[in-house]
Order: sequence, then C-alpha cells, then structure tokens
Amino acid sequence: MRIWAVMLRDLLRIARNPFTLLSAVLLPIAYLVILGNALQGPLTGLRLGLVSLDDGPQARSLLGALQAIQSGPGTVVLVPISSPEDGFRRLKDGAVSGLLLIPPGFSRDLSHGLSASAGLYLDNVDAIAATAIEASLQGAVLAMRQPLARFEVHLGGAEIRSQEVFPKVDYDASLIPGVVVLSIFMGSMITGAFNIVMDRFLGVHESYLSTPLRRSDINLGVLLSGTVVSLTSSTLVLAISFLITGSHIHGGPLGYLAVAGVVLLTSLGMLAMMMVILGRANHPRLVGLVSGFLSVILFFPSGALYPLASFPAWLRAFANVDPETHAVAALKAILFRGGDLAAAGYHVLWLSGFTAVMLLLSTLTLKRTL
Amino acid sequence: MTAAIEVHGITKRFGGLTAVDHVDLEVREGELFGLVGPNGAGKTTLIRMLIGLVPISSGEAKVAQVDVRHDPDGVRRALGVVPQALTSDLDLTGYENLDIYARFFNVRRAQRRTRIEELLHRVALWDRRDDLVKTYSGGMRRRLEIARGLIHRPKVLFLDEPTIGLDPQSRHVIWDLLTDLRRGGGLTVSLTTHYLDEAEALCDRVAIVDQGKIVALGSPQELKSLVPGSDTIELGLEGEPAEGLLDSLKALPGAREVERTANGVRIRADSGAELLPVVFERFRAAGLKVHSASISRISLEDVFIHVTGRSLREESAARPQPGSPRRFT
Repeated sequence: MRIWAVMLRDLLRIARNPFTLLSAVLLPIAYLVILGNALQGPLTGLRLGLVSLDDGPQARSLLGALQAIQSGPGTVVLVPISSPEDGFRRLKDGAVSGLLLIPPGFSRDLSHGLSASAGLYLDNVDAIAATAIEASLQGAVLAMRQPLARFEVHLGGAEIRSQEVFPKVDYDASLIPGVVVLSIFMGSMITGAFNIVMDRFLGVHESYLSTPLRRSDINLGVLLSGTVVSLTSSTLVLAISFLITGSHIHGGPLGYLAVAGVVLLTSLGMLAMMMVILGRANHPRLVGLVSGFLSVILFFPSGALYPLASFPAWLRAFANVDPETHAVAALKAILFRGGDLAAAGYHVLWLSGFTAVMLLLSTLTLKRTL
Repeated sequence: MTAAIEVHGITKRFGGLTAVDHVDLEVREGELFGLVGPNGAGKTTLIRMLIGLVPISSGEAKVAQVDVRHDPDGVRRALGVVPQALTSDLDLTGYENLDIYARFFNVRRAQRRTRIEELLHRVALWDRRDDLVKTYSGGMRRRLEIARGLIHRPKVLFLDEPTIGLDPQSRHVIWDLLTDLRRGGGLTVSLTTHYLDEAEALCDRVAIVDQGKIVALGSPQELKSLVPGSDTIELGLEGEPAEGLLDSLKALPGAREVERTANGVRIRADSGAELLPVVFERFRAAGLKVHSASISRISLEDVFIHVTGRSLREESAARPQPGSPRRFT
C-alpha cells in the first residue's frame, strides 16, 4: 500500500502538469524529424565553379560527364566562370564549394597520349561537401574514359547480386529505436530522481520522511511512477513514429509484448541509474546539468545513429556497457528483424541484469534522513 | 504519569558546531509542551532527532515509549509531525493530501474516509476539500498540515513553528485549533515556537532553549516567578542616567531590579503603577527627559532576558537556523 501511495502521489502531481509528459513525447519526435532529414540522403546542389581554358574534345567530354552528374544525381551544380581570378575570388567568398580549372592544352596532351591535369580547388572547411565534389570529379573522369554505364558488378566472370534479408528499413525508420530510447531517457529526467531532488530542494521531503515509509517504499514508488510515465510517453512516441515512417511492429502480439517488455526494463533501469547518480543531489540545477550530459554521452554511442563498428575501440568498449546500446539493439532486433525475438535475447538479458543492479544500488544509496 | 517523550543527554554536532548540547527532558502524556528560543537555538534540530530525521550524535531518546535510535519506524508510526516549512503538495487537493498521507500509515480505506471528513471539518476546510492546495492561503495550508499530522491518530504531535509567517487572525485560528485538540485528552503536543506569547497562552510547561541547551523549564507561571517582581517598567530616556541615580532607584520600596537598556532603563517592580510616578520624579530631578514609558506584566520574554541576558526578539532577527530547508528567493 505504501509503495502505491508514493506512486499515486507522484502520478497525480505529473497528471496535474501534463506539459512535462507532453515534452517527453514531442521532443523525441522532433529529434526523429530533424535527425531523419538532416543526416539521411545523398548530398545535392554543391556549387562547382568551372573555368575552362581549353575548348578541345577531351575538355568537352569532361564537361559532358559533369553535366550528366548535374542532371542525374545532382551532386554538383556547374557554375561557369570566365577567369581563374574570378573563380578563386568566388571560392574564397564561399559562393562556390569547389573550382575546376581546365588548363589550355588539356585536350591536346591527352590526344597525344600524354597525361594531363585539371586543377580541382576545394573549400575544405566543409570536409563532407569537399569529399562529395572530389568523388563526382573522379566519377566524371572515369566516365570520360568508359562512357558506357554499367549496371552490374563483375568480378572476373562472376556476377554478384545483393539481396536484403529483412524488410527494407529506410533511414527514418531506422531511427525509431533510438527515438524511443531517447523518450525513455527524457521520461527519467522529468520523474524519478528529479522529483526526489525537487522535494528536497523545496523542503517538502521532511513531511514524508516523518512517516513510516521505508527507503524501499520511497525508491520503488518513485521509480514505478516514473516507469508509468516513460512507458506512456514512449508508447506515444512509438505510435507517432510509425505514423510518420509507415513502419509497424513485426511478430504480431508477441512482438508488441516484446517491445513493451524492453521499454519497461529500459525505463526502470534508466530511472534507477539516475537515482543512483542523482538521488542525493540537493539542487535541481545539478539534475539538469548531469541529465543533459548523460543524454548526449549515452545516446550518441548507442548505435542509434551510426553502427558501433565505426567507433574506435575505446568508444566501442563504452558503448558495450551503455544501457541505451542494448535497448536500441533489442528494439532494432524486434522491430526490424521480422519479429525475431531470439535476436534480442542477449540484450534483454543484459538489460535485466543492469536493471536489477541499479534497483538494488538505488535503494541502498537513497538517503532516509534530511 | 508516564512520559510521552524522554530525552537523556541528547547531543547533535554538525562538524565543529554543537547544535544540541546534552539536553535532558521529560514530557508527560497529554501535556502541551512548548520549546521556545530564538532561531538557531537548537529547537528544530532537537525535534528532528526525536523524529529520526537527523541522526543523534550521543544520548538517548524515547517517544511514546519507543527508542528513537533502535526503532525509528516505530517512533514515526506513533507520532504526527507538522514541519516548520509548508510541505503539503500544491498540485494535489486538500483531500488528496490527507488521503495519500493516510496511505503512508496504512490506514484502511473506510477509516481514511471517516477520518479525512472529520479532520477537514475540524480545521474548517471541508468546503475546500476538492480545491488544489496551490489555491489555499498560508493559514489554510497550515491547518491542512495539522490535519495531516493527525490523520493516523498519533500519540504525540510535533508542531514546529506552526504560526510562523501567519497574520494575527490566522495565528488565533491555529491557537483555537490547538486548544480544541487538547479537549479530547490523550494527545501529547510538542510545540516549538519563538513567539513567547504563543507558548504562554497555550502550553502547560515550557522549556527555554538557548545555544543548544535548556536554560529554564517549568509552567509559564513557574518561569515567570524566576523574575523578581511582577511588573516591568520600560523607560526611554534622552541622555545617560548616572550610576548613582540607578542605585537610588534600586533602593526605592517595591523596586526589585534595575538595568540599563539600549534606550534607557528597565525596572522590575512589585507594582509598576505605584512606582512609576516616583521614578518620573527622580529623573526630572536629575534633569533627564523621559520620552517613553510602559508598564507590562512579567512575561516569558522577561524570563528569557532574565535567564540569558538577551532579548529573544533581537536574537531571532539576528540568527539563521542551521539545517533549514532551502527556499526560493
């Protein structure tokens, strides 16, 4: 009864401030929309200045290949420039991201079987744009040599055809596990330890510490109310994400149950972890500061945005003990591997152990005195 | 009669500061007991140790015959607490605040309903039971918190500065409520206050606490008898009275004690009304102008000055309270 009373108190207070719950839903959705659009898709429309001092056939062939890229994938937009001086000025001003200078005699040298160089000057302040322009130019030079496009990859005489094992997951949809985990983390920021610290800051805790509530009553009551909030917000986030991306949970009712189980475990584990770290803080500002820091260092290495394989060894080691990594991996396995629950098994086991340890630690470290 | 609160040699140290220093105390069952003293005297720390909110550095304490150090949960089951800070949940209604606290004490549903209704009627908040506490005035919140402290029918009720920050009308409502609580009998009330008139009006016995120690203990009457005389004459003077003049005042029939104050002199007398004209005459003869004069009955304020040598009003204004909850400013 006492645990339920602590939960009820917390839930009533949160229900009277629905904006906090709403923010735990809307902010992760905003992440999905912004990150999904900011990070996905090929680069297009990079302005490439073009100064051609040669009117020969090879120079025209190179320009033709670049025009094909412009009207095809659209990586570059060609900007004809009359003189090298004007080209360099525009490059320095940032009006163009790259400058291709085709010198006089370029076609002549090539037609005589000699090597010829065209200068590519890149605005390397934006390394990703510079790399994309360079790749386009290499593609154009290759196309100049081999004008027929190939649609199959050949190794010797063997033909390779790629086949996707699981249903197609586009980038927006691939962010869903991360966004759900983010929503759980935000839920743990606005409930649990935060409520304890706010009570302490306002002096309200003195009244309930004067009752026979045990440490475990207070801890479990607060954590379970936070879990209800996180579960609610992440369910809403999941539903809205599916609406936005057109995805759905594979595996039928068992799939839904598995997702709910992972969300529940993750919520409880994260809330307990926050209680261990912040349960004794005496100012809500400290909660804001530490939560903001944890939100970044736990989310970005979690594999929600980039695969762990791209990390250096030390970061991979950190990611392997990051609870968000296992939550994201478990959700990905359930959501995208056609409802294959076995694939999530290891991560669910890890999360269960983590949650059990954090629950124990949070109860032991909670302060029962002023 | 058995003791509701027994304290022997209880001490609390915060680093180098001794907030409560070897206090011995016994509060009888059914008594309304006052702990008075300036802010920072150690009253709240003493109460917090008895509730188990602050660990005891040394000494022994029992509340409702339960050992505070060995069974703090047992103590908390037996007592109700109304802390100094307003601690009711603003986002909950008055009814919900009481309901949640009743659940903390495992009060069953049927009993909860009956008790909440009875208590809300008693503190005159039944009509506002469904309003959020954030819409209550300070006095209403304090009444609600007194009701909350009684929801589980405690044997001992601790009230820490229950009228602090309230307007005079609300203070008197609380006083009436405390007087009303005593009518049922059986409930022991420990009242911490720095309002001496409050202690005098309400308490059976009063302990004066100063610098972590109990410096005087007894009924208001017993304490007042510590001060010589029955009246206090306060005179404001223009100029300093000579030592010889003060000696001559002390020698007057009915004058019991004469002392300098910041603005003039204070005289304890058997009858202020009889002595005052004579005193005026002495000052006039000495060429000192009296710009203010007052006669009052000996009060606990006089007792505090008598036993500590300082005015409680000045002390309360000057000293912060250790361990006070943080507030928004």
